This record gives sequence, C-alpha cells and structure tokens, in this order.
Amino acid sequence: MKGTYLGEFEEVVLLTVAMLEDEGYGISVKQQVELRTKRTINLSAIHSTLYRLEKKGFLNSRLGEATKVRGGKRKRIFYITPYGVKSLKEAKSLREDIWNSIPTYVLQK
Amino acid sequence: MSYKNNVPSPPRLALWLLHIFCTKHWLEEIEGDLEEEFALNVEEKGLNKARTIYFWTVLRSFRVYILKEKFLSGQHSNKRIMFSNYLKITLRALLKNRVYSFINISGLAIGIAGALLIFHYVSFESSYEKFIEGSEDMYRVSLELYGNGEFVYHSAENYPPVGETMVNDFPEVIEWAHLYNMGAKNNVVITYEESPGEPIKLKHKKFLYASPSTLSMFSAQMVEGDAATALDEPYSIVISESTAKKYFGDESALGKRLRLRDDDFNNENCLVTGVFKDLPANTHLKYDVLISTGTIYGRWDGALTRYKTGWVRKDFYTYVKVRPGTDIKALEAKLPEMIDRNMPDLADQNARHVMHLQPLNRIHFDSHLSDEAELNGSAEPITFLSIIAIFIVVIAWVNYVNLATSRSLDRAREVGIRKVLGSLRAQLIRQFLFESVVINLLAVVLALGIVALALPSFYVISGIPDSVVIWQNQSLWLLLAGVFLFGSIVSGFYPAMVLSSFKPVSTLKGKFRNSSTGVLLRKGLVIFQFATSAALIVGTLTVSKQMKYMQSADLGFDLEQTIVVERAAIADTSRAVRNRNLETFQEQLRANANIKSVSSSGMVPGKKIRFKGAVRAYNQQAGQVHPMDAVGGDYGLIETLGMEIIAGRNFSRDFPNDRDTAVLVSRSSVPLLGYDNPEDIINQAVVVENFGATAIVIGVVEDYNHESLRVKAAPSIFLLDPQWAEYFLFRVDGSIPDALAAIERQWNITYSANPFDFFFLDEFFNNQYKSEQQFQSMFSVFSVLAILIGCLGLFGLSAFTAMQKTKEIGVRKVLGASVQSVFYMLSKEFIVLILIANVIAWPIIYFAMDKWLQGFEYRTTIDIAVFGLALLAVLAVALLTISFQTIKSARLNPVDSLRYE
Repeated sequence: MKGTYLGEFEEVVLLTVAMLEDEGYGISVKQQVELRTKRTINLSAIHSTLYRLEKKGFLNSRLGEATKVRGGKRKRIFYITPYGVKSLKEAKSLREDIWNSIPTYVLQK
Repeated sequence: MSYKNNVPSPPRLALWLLHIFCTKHWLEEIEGDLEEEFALNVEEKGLNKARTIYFWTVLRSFRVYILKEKFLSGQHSNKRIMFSNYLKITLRALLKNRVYSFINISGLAIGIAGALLIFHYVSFESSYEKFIEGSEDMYRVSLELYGNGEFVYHSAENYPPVGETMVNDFPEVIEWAHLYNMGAKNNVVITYEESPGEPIKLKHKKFLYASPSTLSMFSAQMVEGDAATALDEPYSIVISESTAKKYFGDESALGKRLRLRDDDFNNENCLVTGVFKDLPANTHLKYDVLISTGTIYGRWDGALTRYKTGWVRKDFYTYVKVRPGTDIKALEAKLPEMIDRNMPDLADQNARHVMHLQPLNRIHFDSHLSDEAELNGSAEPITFLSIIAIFIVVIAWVNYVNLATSRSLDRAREVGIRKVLGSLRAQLIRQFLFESVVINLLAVVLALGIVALALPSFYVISGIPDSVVIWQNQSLWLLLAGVFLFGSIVSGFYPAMVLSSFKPVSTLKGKFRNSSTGVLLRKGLVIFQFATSAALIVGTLTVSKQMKYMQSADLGFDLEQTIVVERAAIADTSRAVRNRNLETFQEQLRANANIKSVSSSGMVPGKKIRFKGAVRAYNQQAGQVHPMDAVGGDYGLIETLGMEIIAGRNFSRDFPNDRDTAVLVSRSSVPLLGYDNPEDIINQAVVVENFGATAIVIGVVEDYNHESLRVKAAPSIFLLDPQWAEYFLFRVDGSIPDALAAIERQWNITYSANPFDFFFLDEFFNNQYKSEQQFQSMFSVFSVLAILIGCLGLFGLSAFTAMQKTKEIGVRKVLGASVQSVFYMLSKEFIVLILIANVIAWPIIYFAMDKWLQGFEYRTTIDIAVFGLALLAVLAVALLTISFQTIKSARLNPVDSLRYE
C-alpha cells in the first residue's frame, strides 16, 4: 500500500487544498493550516507535502498568476484530483468505521 | 512599519543558495511564495525577524527531494550511476587509509574551525556601532589642544556648543548630540524613594547627561516612552530595561520618580520618561542611565554657559551626523575657522585648538584619546589574527594537496585501469574533485562540531560576550561556504590534474614514479608550512615577552594589596562635617592591625588624571607654563602607593608649612622647570598658574606610569590637599577579608547613606591590558593550532616517504646499515626543508613584531634567542613526528620489507 497511505499532516494539507478550491498555493495553504491547527509551520514543510501529494496523484497543479508582492513570480495553484477525493473519503470512512466500533462506555470515560 | 525609500529585500545569501540548490522546475513558485511570505513577515514581525525566517526556510528547504531531483534525476541515469560509483570508491579509499583520511579530514576541520572562530572574533570587533542607523555618516568631534606650541592633550570631549554650531554653520551637518560622562567623573547614587519597601539605592557608572536627540541618533530601542521626546524636558531620566527591573521589578517605569544625588551635592528628583532596551556589547558608548542635559542648566548661576553655550570647558562627547556623501576632509577644513570665530582669544593665550572628525565606526579600533568612555581596542591584533586565520586554513589545504599527490602512487593503478576501460581525462578529474568535495564536506561538518565544543573556552579567551551568538553571524556561513567551495576545488584541483594525467601503460607496468615537479611543489609547500610555524612561534614568544614585561615593569608604584574605595556620593553639605567624616573614616581604619597605611587621593593609578596644572618655575617667564598632571593627596599618599622619593622629602606633619605651600614633582618635571638634577629643584618656588598658587618643591618622586605602558609617563605635580579626596586608598598588611570587613563596617558608620563599593588596585590597573591579554591568548592558541595542523601533515608525509622507501631500507639493512643511519637518511630531507623555512620566516616575522612593538612606549626587545628557539622547537616537533614512522620502518625486519612487493 506504499504510496497511497495518507499521513496525518498530509491529510490536513489535502483537506485544506480541497477547501480552498482554486485558491490553494504555498502561502494560502500554510495560513489556513496554521490557523486551524494553531501551530507554526515552516513554509518548506508545506511545499514538500504539496509536491509529495502531487507525486502520489492526490493533487494536480497549474501555474497561476503573478503578483507584485511576489516579485513578479507565478504561483503554483493546487487542486484535488478525483483520486485524492476518493482517498480522503476512504480515510474518513475508515475512521468512522473504527469510531462506530468503539464501545459507548469507553467514550464516556 | 513603513517602507521608507528602499523596499526591504530578503537576504542575498539565502536567495543565492536557493538558486543553486532548488530544482529549476520549482524555483519560480517557491521563490515567489518565499517572497510573499517575506513581505507579510516584514509587516508583522519586522525586517530582521523576516530575514531570519526567510533564511531558515531556505535552509529547511534542502529536503532530499529537491536535491534528489537536481542531481540524481532520471534523465541522467548514467551520471547517477557514475556518481554512486565515485562515492563508493571515495569511501573505500577513505576507509582503506584510515590514518591518511583521519589526518586529512581532522587537519582540515581544525583549520576551518580555527578560522571560523577567528573570523567571529574579527567580525564582532568590526561590528561596533553598526547597529546604529546611519552610523557610517556619524562622527565624533575630538579636541586637540596645544599651549605654547606644545601638545597638551587630545580629548574625546569637546565644548558644549560645538555640535549645535556645526549644524547651524554647515549645511552638510544635519544632526548633533552631546553627552556629559557624569558616571566616570563623579560618584552618583540614584534612589527610588517611593519604593514600597526599603528605598532602593544604586551606584551608577554608566551614567551620562544627554542632549534631546541622543536616543534617536543612537537608534535606542525604546521599551517605554518616546525616543524623540524623552530627553526634552529638564529632570527627565531614561534608563535601560535591566536598570528599570532593578528599581521597579515588573512594574512600568514610566512616570515613576528617581532621586539623583552625587558628590557635587546635586540632589534632584527626576521623572522616568523612557526605558530603552539594554545596549548591545558592540558599542563604545555604553550607558544604563541618561538624564536630560536640561537638568543641569539650572543648577547654579552660570551653569547654562558652562554646559550649553560656553566655549570654556570641554566636557561633552560631541557627535554629529552628516549628509551621506559629504567630503569629510573638506568639512574638517572648515573647523579652524569655526574655532577662531567662537574663541577669538586663543591666540592671545598662546593656545591652539584642532578639532578632528572621528568616524564613529572606527572609534573602537583606533581611538585612544584622553577621556574615552571606555578602553578601546586596536586594529593591529585584528590584522594579525586575520592573517593567522588565513594561514591556518592554507596550511590545512597544503596538507591535503601534499598527502593527495604523494599518495598518487596508490591510486595510479586505479587510474590506469579506468583509462584502459575508456575513462576520459575529464571524467577522472571530476571523480577526484568529487572526492575532494566529500572530504571537505566531512571536514566542514566536523569543524562545526569543533566550534560548538570550543565555544565556551573561546568566549573566555576572546572576551566576546556570549550573547553574541556565533551561529547567527550570516557572513560566517558565507565564509564557511566559501572555504568549502574554494577548498574543494583549489585543493582538489592539483591532485586531480596529476592523478588523471598518468599514462595507463606505465602505471600498469608498475614502472611509475612520482614526477619531479610534484616533488618540488611538495617541498615548497612543506617549506611554507614550517616557515609559518616558525614565524608563529617567534610571534607568540615575543607577544608574551612584551606582556610579561608590561606586567612586571617597575611602574613607580606598588599596586599589590591595595584596596580602593571611592568617596561617598551622598555627602553632608556642611564642609566642616565633611572634613570631620573624612578624618574619622581614615583615622579609625589607620588603627586597624590589618591595614598598613591609609590615604585619601585625587587620583588612582590606571585612570586618566582629570586635572592638568599649568606649571612654571618661579623664575620662568609668566605664561610660559608646562602642562603637568596635577594630583592632590594626603600625607600618606606616597607611602600608600609605594612611590619612591629620589630627592628631598615627603609631605610631613612635622612641617606645618607643608599644608599651605609644599608640592612634590616627578623626575621628568624637573628639566621642564629648568633644573638639571632633581636635587637642584628642592626648596625652589614654582607657580601653578591655573590654580593661582605659588608653592615650594620639597621633594622629587621617581617617574611613574600612571597609565598603561602604551603611553609615556607624564610629568606631574603633587599637591598636599587632604580634602582633595576622590578616593581612599588602603594598603593592607595582613588579612584582606578582615581589612575589607573593617572598611565596610566603618563606611556604614561614617557614610551610612551610601552603598559600599570597592575595588583592588592591581586588578583595576591590569584591566588596562585586557585587550593585550586577549590578543596574547588568541595568538598563542591559534599559533599552536597552526603548528599542530602542520605536524599532522608532516606525520602523514613522513609516513608515506618511509613507506615508499621500504624496499630501499630493506636493502640497506641487509648490507649492514644501522637503525640510526636509516633514521638519518629518512629525516635528512625534512631537516633541510626546516632550515630553509626558518631562514625565510625570520626576517618577515622580525619586521612584523617590530612594528607591533612600536605601538608601546615601553617595550621589550626582540630576542635573537627566540629565533633559535623557534628553529629548535620546529625541528624537535618535526623530528618527533617523523621518528614515529621512520623508526618503525627502520626497525622492520629486512626480510619483511624486501618481501613487500
């Protein structure tokens, strides 16, 4: 199953890209992830995760527009592939399955 | 944060690294993202933080995937295979010859580590004032005074109106500030009286009066209050963060009141209008407390003239800022006219002033004027150490080249086979360069480890505060990258050329010999290493001889066992009470069994004398005065300081007239006053014109070096004035702790309002040699390092020579040669090289050290014996290193050595 496995951080990044629709690139993903996880994350971590996800086929990308604040350099916009959506759903249902199997009294501890 | 004129840019070095290492494919977007984040961070966290984050992110971006894509991507799978083969061969070669690898890598690592540490020292020393915005356009206006054509002093301080006048008169001068160094001149106690508990009293040394623009001009970072206005009003006090903590704990300091009291009876209640971040260590003007200059204008009638408008007393450090691009020489040339206009009477007084503009950034390096705020460093040690740093690295590279070429025999067969199998020369060169990159990389990593381990001792030796974090020094990383690249390529290039040039036929036949040019080069390099070692040994010994000379030189004082206490800052306003206290305090302690003698004094050795007397002999023409250090003291002063009377007598209570008329002069004052021999001046009258006093010389003391031996002993005059008591001196004869306890007890009785404080005279005096001592230890440590690296190389080289001659040794032994004669044969070559090296090194180091010694007024000589010693030392170390290997091979059983092929 190597290559399809989705790590915790990868999953967060993948979800964020999905949430951002057509707006997901290095900085916007970083800001959203930081906002939601309340952690400080180095930009390089986001980059490496995005590229890895693309390589695994969960993400696709195209070059976007250039802005002045970027010194005239284009962004790489990421969007989720159907395969990515499928993996997210699988991950979710896997969790739900396990959640549902937890005896109620354990959750009441 | 506003953008000002220039848009903040990310660190160039980081950008450069990114461009080198990042995949082309991703470069644009990654760089764009980084830039966008940088712009955000500048807004939110400030430029410095943003730059640090940028740098860090680039470094963190060196993730394997980026590198992998760049170097080992599928397109060039051929290359990839070759590289992994090179890596394999390199590692095998390294492991096969562990000793050589160890020598190579550790030598390089030690060299790089040493160079990095020196570089950190040098860059700290040259970073002085750089944190001040626009420091390159700031100048201190110093004042040089001549009287009767004779040099009197060159002071860091100047007249109060100089700064303002320059801004008014010269359009290119745009800002000024001046400060009065009160903490150095008076004893000051500042009290927080409204403290909830006991009033908090602290004595302050780094305390100055400052004009309103000071804080903004010196880029003070305010924690509370506004830098632009905090010093505007009279009775405003601005303190450092740590001082605020001492008085107010965690409470806000703004709006609190602090009472200032000093030994001039000033007693003022000041309002805290600002708190600034503690100053960094790399500034020549360190202050904890600033009080607005407006405070002192109303102190007494005429204070306004004295402290603000008058060209009478030089009391202020004066700083000006000029427009960028101003011609400083031209501005300096306008100063004489300004002086003439404002001080028209100078010529009548036979006096002449010269004002100089000292670049702010240079003050720490080469300013040694009177009244400096702190003892400044000097440029020569920096130059010397930089040179040593370069030598250390070069020696390490030389080792690499030497070992690599001499070992070429080992690799010749490999080269032959590779060539036969179709390797091109360029490929072989690439392979050997790659090896050198790997070795250098290992060395760099090891060097960083060594630096980390050596840091604590380095901080102690160099005197750099450990708050200056070495890893944050960006240029250090740049240097490391440079050393790595240059080392990999330059030290790798020659061996790569040599190795790749071998002809396959001869190497495979086994008829291969080292080329003669290679041998010559190796000899040259060995000579270079030993010349450096010899020079460094001579240098180290000479520096330490000079240090010993200075510390043991007869200063004309005896500083041992002497405790100094400064006079009380808070004293009674009644003169009678004050004098009674002065008497009681000393009288009580004079009776103490542990204290041999006590005296009040107007000076303390090691601190510049504040008062100059304008002295002439009674029979010399009025106005023809000689500047002399003027010192006031009590009857016991000469005895307590252990000075020597060479003619006449000391002050004595047995001569009641002494009190009004007696003075002592120092030996060098005698000829100035027109007498040939010290005896001749006894009982002659002298006039101290600026004190309005006529006095009789009752004795002459031996010249004494009041300050560091860098400067000449000044002529001086001693006045008997028990009330001129800025210091109390106690010469202890017995237990120091007991004496100290007694002094403190008596202090708390007599001067109960004041915190007790003391220092030891010898420590205080030797503090002046701090920078020399640091230089000495740095010099010795790094010389030893250089010699060590040189020996490592020699060790490898001699081992190799011995190995090469294994067969010859075997034959010789069979024919009856003794171990000694074999040893002689093997070391002969090196001995010759060492002799040549020494002969080359001697004149060079002689001139260098001679120049260094010229900086001292009192200096030792360069011993010729030292050169011999250096030769012997280098020879001994080298022979010891060689002998380890040669004796081993000389003692081998010839059967084994003949069989070795």
